[in-house]
Amino acid sequence: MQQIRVRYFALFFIIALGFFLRFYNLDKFPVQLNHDEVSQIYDVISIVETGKDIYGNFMPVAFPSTGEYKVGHYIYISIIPYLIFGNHEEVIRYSSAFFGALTIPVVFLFIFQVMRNHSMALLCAFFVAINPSDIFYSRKSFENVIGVFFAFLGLYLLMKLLEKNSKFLLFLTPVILTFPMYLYTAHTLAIPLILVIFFILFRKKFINIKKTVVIFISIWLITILPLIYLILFNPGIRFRALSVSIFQDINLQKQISYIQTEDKIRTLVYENITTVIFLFNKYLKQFTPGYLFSYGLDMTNQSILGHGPLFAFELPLFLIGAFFLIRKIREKNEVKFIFFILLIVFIPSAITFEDYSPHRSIMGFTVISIISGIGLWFLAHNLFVIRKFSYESTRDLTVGVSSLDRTSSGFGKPATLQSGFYRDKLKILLLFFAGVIILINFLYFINIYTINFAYEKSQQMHYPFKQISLFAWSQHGNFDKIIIDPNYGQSWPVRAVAVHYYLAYYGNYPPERFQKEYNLNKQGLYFDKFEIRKVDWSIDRKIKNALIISSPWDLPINSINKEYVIKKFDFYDKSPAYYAVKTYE
Amino acid sequence: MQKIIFVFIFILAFTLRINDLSFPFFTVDEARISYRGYTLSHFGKDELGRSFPVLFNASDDYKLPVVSYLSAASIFVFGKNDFGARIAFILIGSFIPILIYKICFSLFSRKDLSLITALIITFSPVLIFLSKIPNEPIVLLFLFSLFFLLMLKKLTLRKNILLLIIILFVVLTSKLAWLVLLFLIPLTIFIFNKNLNFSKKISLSLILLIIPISAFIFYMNISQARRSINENNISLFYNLTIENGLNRLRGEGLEEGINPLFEKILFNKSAYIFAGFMHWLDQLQPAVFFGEFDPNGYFSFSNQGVFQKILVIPFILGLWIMIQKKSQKTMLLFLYSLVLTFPANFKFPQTSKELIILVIPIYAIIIAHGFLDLKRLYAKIIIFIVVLELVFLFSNFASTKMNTNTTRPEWVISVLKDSFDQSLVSKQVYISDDITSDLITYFQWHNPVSQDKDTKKIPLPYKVKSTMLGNIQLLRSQDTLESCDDETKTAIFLGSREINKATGNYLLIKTYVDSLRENRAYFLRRDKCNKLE
Repeated sequence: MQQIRVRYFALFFIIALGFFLRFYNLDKFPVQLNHDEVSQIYDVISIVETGKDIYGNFMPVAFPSTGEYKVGHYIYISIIPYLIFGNHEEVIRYSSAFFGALTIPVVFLFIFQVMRNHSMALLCAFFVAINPSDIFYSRKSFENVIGVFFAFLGLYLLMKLLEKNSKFLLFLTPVILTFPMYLYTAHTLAIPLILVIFFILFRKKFINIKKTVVIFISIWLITILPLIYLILFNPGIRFRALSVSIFQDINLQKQISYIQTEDKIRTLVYENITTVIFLFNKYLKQFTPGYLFSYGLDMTNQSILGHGPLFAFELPLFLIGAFFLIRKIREKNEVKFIFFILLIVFIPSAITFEDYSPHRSIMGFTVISIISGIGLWFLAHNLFVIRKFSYESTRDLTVGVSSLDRTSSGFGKPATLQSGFYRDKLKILLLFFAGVIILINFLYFINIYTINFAYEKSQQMHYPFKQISLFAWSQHGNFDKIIIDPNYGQSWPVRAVAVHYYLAYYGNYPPERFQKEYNLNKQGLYFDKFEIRKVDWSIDRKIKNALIISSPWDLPINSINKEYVIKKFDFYDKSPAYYAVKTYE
Repeated sequence: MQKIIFVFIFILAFTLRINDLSFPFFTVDEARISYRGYTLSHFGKDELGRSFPVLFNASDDYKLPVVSYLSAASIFVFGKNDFGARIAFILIGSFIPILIYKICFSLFSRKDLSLITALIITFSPVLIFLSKIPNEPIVLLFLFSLFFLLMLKKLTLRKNILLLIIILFVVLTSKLAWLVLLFLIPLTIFIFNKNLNFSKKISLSLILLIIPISAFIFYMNISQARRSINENNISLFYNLTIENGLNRLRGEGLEEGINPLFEKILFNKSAYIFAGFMHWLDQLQPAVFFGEFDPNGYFSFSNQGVFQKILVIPFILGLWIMIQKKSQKTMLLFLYSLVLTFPANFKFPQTSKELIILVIPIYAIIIAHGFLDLKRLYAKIIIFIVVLELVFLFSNFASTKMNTNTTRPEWVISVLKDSFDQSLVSKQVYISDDITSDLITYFQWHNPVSQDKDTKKIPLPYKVKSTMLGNIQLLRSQDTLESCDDETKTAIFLGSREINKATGNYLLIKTYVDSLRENRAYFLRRDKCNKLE
C-alpha cells in the first residue's frame, strides 16, 4: 500500500515538475511573442470579437496570417484560455504548455501498458517532463505539442485495446488517433503508418477478432474523411502543404536539374529516383547525433555549443536502453512497435524543404527520451539489483510491481546491495557522479534557454517589435503618419512579416476596425496612421510631420541630425535594431 | 572452389572499377599526384624539381610518399595517361574484396557470409570511386586488411617481417594512420590473435609501435610539420570556434548578472571533449554509410553512401541479431570500428572520411549477417534493389560530373588543350587564374610538357611555376591587359572574372562551357601584343 502511495506521489511530483517547467515565467521566456504567436493571439481576439480573421475571412480553416496559411486549430483551441484568463500575452502559450505537461502522464500510461513496470514508466515520464524539446516547444504556441499529446493518448488506448476488447475503446481509440492528424501535418503522415505497423505486428491477436479491426478502421476512415476533403480541396491547406514540401528544397531542385537525358520517360524515371534518393538521405540525416544531442534546437549561433532537442546525457542512456530492449526482450512485439514508431515519426521532417525541422520531430524526440528512461532503468537495475534481470521474471507484473520494486523500496536503497563495501561505495560514487552530470546538463539547458537564446536569436524572436509597437502607439497623437520599415536584422537584413500584427495587438486595435482599414498594395501595408513599407530616407524625410521607424539597413543614421533621432531600439544583445526618426518638415 | 570465387570476385570488382576509365576527373591534388608520378618515374624529381623526396606538397597539407611512388611505378609501366594513373588503384581496389573474404572466413568460417561480405565490398560505391583515383584511403584500407589478415594467422618469422613491412608502408602512406596504429596494433594483437602468448603479444605490439612513434618523432623535427599536425590532424584544440563560442556564451551570462563561477561550470574546456565526441559520432551516423558519404565529391559519387541505400535494412537487422544472439566476434568487430575511427575526435571540425573508409569491411560483415537472416523473398527484393541502385549509379555519372563542377572540372580539358596548342604557335599565352584553381597542375598533367626543361634552372620552382610555365603566363586579378606596339601574336584565355578587362579590339575565338553549361572561359586573340602591368 505504501509502495503504491510512493508511486502515486512520484508520478504527481513528475507531473508537477512538468507543469512547473512549462508554465513558470511563461511570459518572460521566451522574452517576447514571436511573429507566429502575436499573429495567433490577435487572430484569436479577432475570431472571438468578429468571427473573422484580420483579413475578414469567416472562421477560416487555414489562416492566411503572415502569408504562410497557418492551420487554424491552435487558434481555435486558444480561444478557451483567452476567454478564461483574458487578454494577456502568455495566454497564447497556455494551450501548448498545458497539453505539453499532460503528455507526461499519458507517456507514463503508455509505457506502463507496454512494459508493465511502474518504475520504468515513471522514469520515462520523468525524462519527458524534463525533455528540452518538449519544454522548448511547449513554451511557445505550437500545435504539434497538442498533437503529440493526442498521439500518445491514442497509442496508449491502442495498446489498451489490444489487452481489452471493449466497445468503448473500440470507438474512442480511432477517434482520438485522428486528432493529431487534424492538428499537425506531421501526424497526418505518421499516424496512418503507425497504424499499419501496429496491425502488422499484432496481426496474430486480431485473427479471431477481425470484426473489431474492420470497425476500428471504418471509424478511423470516417473520422478522417473531412481531413482528406480539406487536404484535397482547401486552397489554404494545399498552399501550406506545397510551400513546405521537399520539392521546395533548392538542393533537390539542383539535383533534378543535373539529369541530362533526351528521353522524356527516362528523365521522369530519373527525376523520381533522384527525389527518392534525396528524401532517403535527408531522412537518415534526422538521426545525426550532433543534431539530436548538441545543437538541434538552434538556440545559439555558436556551432556545436548550443543545445539539442535531447540532453547529451541521454545519448548513452538511449544506447543502453535500445541495447537492453533488443537483448532482453526478444519476442515482445510492443518493443518492436516502439522502435517502429521512432523510425516513422522522423519521416515528416525528411519530406519537407528544411534540412532539419525539429518542430516536426517532437514526437521522435519524446520516443528517444522514453528509450533513454528505459536505459536508465536497466542501468540502475543492473547496478543495484544483484539478481540478474530477466524479463520473464517481470512478466507477471501486470499489477505494476516490477522485480526491482519487489526487491527494493526504490533505487539505490542499501537494503538491496549485497556486494562488498567498496563495491557499494563505488556504485554510490557512480550514481553521484551521474547525478552531477545530469544536473549540470539540465542547468546548461536552462542557462542556454533563459539567457543565451535571447541574446543569440534576438532577430529570430522579432525582439524589438513589441517595444517598437508600444512606442509607436505612444507617439500616435504627435504625428500625422508613422512609417515602419519591415527590413531589419542583426547580421543581414530580413523582412519582418508580422509588423501589422504587433501594432494591432499592442495598440489594442479593434479587429473589426482593422479588417476595414487594412490595405495592402505593392508599396506596403497600411492601416490607421501606420505605413509598413520600405523607407527611402532621401524621399521620406520630406514628408510632413511623420515618424519614421527604420533599421540601420535602410536609414543612413550617421548622416541624420541627432536632434531628429528620438528613440533607439536595440536587439537583446544591445546591438542597434531600429531608430525612430522624425522627418525634417 | 575458393579460387574460382576469388577470380569471380576479382573480375567483377575490376570490371566495375575500370568501367568509364576517365571518370571521375581528377581534383587538383589527384592531378598533382599523377603528374608527380610521371616526373618521378621519368626524371627522378617531383613536380617542384626535388630529387626523390619523402614529403610532398598538396593543396592543404604535406603528403607522405607511398601514393606518389605507387603512381610513379604505375605511370612508368603504363605511361602518362589516365590508365597509367589509375590502374594501380584499380588493382588495389579489386583485391580488397578478396582480402575481406579471407578475413571474414578466418573469423567466422562461413563461406556464405564471407562471399556476401566480399560482394558488398565489391559493390560499395565509395570503394568503386576511390579505386579509380590516386588516393591514400584505398591504399590504407588495403594495407590494414593485409595486416588484419596476417594477425589472424599463425605468425612465423616470415610473417612477422611481412607485418613490419606492412606497418612501414602504412606509416609512409598517411599521417592520420599513425594515430590509428597506436590503438589498432595492440588491440588487434590482443583481441584477434589467438596464437601468441601474453609476453609475445606485448613484444610484438612494442616492436610494431616503434615504427609509427619513430615516424611521428622524425616528422615533428621537420619545420612546419608541427603546424601541419596541429591544423590537419588535431584541429580540435586549435579551432577558435569553440573558444570564441564559450567566451561569448559565458559573457552573455555575466551580462545578465549570473555568477561567474556558475558560468565557468557550464562553459569550460570540457566543451572540447564534448565537441570532439559529437563530431566523432557524426562521422559514424547512418546517413554517412547509407545516405551521402561526401557531398563535395572528393571521395564518392553524388548522393551515394558507402553502401547501397537498401542495405540499411540488413544492417539494422544485423545489429539486432548481433545484440540478441550475443555474437561476440561481431560485437568485438563493431567496437573495433569505434576504436579505429576514434582519432576523428581530434579532427573537429574537419571530416574524417579516411577513417570511415577503414571500417567499411566491418559494417559490411554486419550487413551480411543481417542479409543472411532475411527470408528468401525479402533477400531477393533487396538484391533486386541493389542491382537497380547500381544501374542508376552507372548510368548517371553526369549527375556527379555536374555536382563536382568546381572540384573536378572536367570541362577544363578543352581549355588546357587549346592553350597548349597556342603555346606552340604563339609567342605568349595568357591564362587567367580564375578559370579553375591551380590551373598549372592540370596543364602539366593533361599536356605533354617537359618537367625537366621547365624547372631546370629555376631556383624556387614553386613560386614561379604557380604563375608561369614556359611562354604561358597566368593572369592574376591585379593584372591588366594593355596593348602595345609589338606585332607578335598573343593568345588569351580568360575566365568570367577577367573577361570584362578585355576591352578594345579583341576577337572572341571560342567560348568554353562548364559541366553546368555555363560560360566559364573565353579564348581571345588580338594581333597586337598584350602587356601585363
